[in-house]
Formats: sequence, C-alpha cells, structure tokens
Amino acid sequence: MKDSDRISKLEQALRRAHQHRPEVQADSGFALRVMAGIHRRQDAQQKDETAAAASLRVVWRFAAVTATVAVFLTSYALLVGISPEQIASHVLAGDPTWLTAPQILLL
Amino acid sequence: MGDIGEPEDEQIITSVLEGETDAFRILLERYRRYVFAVVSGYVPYDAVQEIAHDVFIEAYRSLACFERGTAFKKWLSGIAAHRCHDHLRRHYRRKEIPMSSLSQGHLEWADAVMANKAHDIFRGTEARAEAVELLHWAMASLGPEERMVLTLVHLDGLSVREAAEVLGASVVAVKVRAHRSRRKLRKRLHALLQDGGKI
Repeated sequence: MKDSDRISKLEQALRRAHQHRPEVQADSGFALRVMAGIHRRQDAQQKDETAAAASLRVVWRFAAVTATVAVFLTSYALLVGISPEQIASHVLAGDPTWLTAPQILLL
Repeated sequence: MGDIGEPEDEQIITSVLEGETDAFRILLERYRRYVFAVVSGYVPYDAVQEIAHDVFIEAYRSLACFERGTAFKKWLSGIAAHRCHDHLRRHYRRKEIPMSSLSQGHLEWADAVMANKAHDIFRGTEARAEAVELLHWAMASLGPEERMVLTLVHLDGLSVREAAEVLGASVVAVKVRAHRSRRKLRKRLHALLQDGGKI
C-alpha cells in the first residue's frame, strides 16, 4: 500500500473516531456551578448599577445646588446694580475696598 | 425545540430577560449534553467542563443579543466554537507533542487501523478515547485557527461557507486554512507511520 493511501486510511479512521467520540459527562455539580456563576454575575451587575445610580444622584444634587446659588447671586447682583463681570474685574484688576460688605460676601 | 408541555426556547429567553434568572436552568439542562459534545470536538477532554461552563455563562450574558426567530442551538454552538478558539489560542500555541508521549495503546490503535481490524478500532470507550487522543496529538502542531477549521471542515463535515459563518471568517481564509491544516495533519500522520515503530 502506498504511503498516501495509508495516511488516508488513518485519517479516515481518526475522522470516524472524532464523530463517535465518547461522551464527556458533566459532574453532578455542573448545573449548580453555572447557576451560581450567573447569580454572582447578576449580583455584581446590580451592585454596579446601584453605585452608578448613587454617583448620578450626587452629580444631580450638586448641579441643583450650584444652579440655585448661581440664580441667587445673579438676582442679588442685579438688585444692587452691579454686574457679576464688574465684581470679577474689580477683584482681579483693582482695589476691592470700594465694594460693600454684602458685595464682598458675594465673592 | 421543546416537547409538549415544555416551554419553547424563546419563551424561556423572554422570562430570563424579564428577570426570572432561574429559568435559564431549563436551557442549561436542555443543551448541556449538546454543548459538551460540541466542545469535546475541539479541545482535549480535561478542558471540556471548564469551557462548557464558560459557554453557558457567556450565553446568559449575551442573551439580550440573541436574534429572535433563529435557532438557539446554533447560536449556542457559535459561542462554544468561539470559546474553544480562545482556549486553544491561550493554551495550545503550536505546541508540538513528541511522539514519545504516545502510549502503547495509541500505537496499537493505529496498528489496528492499518491491519483492517475494524472491530478493534471502535470496540469500546477506551479505544475510542485513545483514537481521539491520537487525533489531538496529531493536531497539536496546528495553530488555533487551523485546528478549528480542520475540526469543522474535515472532521465535522461542514462546508467551507458554514465553517466561515461559525468562525466569523471569510470563505477564502477558511478555504486556505482548511487546505493547509489538512496538509499538516497528513504530514504528522506520515511521521507517525514512519517512526511509530510498530506500525
């Protein structure tokens, strides 16, 4: 028999062996382990979602407080007849002593 | 899928996605044997449980991406193939196993093939396991992609197009790998026949 025929014969037998390979049995705890892995993953996911929601709450609260303060300061600045830009330019470039006590408090 | 009284796969998937996580166990029990069979076709027996475990976890994780109206079994076999591919890439990088690692049983099996002792070749689980081990030995020198393609095309009998779909590769790439991997396998078998001694 030629070498190539012998190789083909062996190859064919190996193919048959692959197709009739013995079944690998799952051990009794397999399903439990998979379900435990799934539950672990689900718990971790829930924790992540809770942490993300908490961070988002902090961000929104901070944004709300900042917006309220900004509205208050702008209203006050308009009330006393000085614009926020003026306050800023005086603080940065000039003598701030002309500012009244409430205006200084604004800074 | 699903006998009378048993929920269909898609019904179960809907339940799981709606928060009934434990319903996934029905799918797990239904396809456990199938996944084990698929995985054992690609990787050595000692790695099958671990990979099958990962396949189900991955299936659960990606359940929202499952396309309704398609076969869940086929989708699952795709995940299994990818997991096995990853495993081969990590653990079997063309790790050529020396011929000395073959046992007397392996060589006797090949001997029986050559002597046309068809009855002996598949006489029992042990002989079949030896044959599969011999096959893994012969495929050890192949790269992970070549190994996957060889299994799908030459051993499982899938068409090049079907194998390309499973692997997410182009038809041309699969065709080239199929040819190359078979040539390498035959070279390895030739070495076994030459140097195997008893054969």
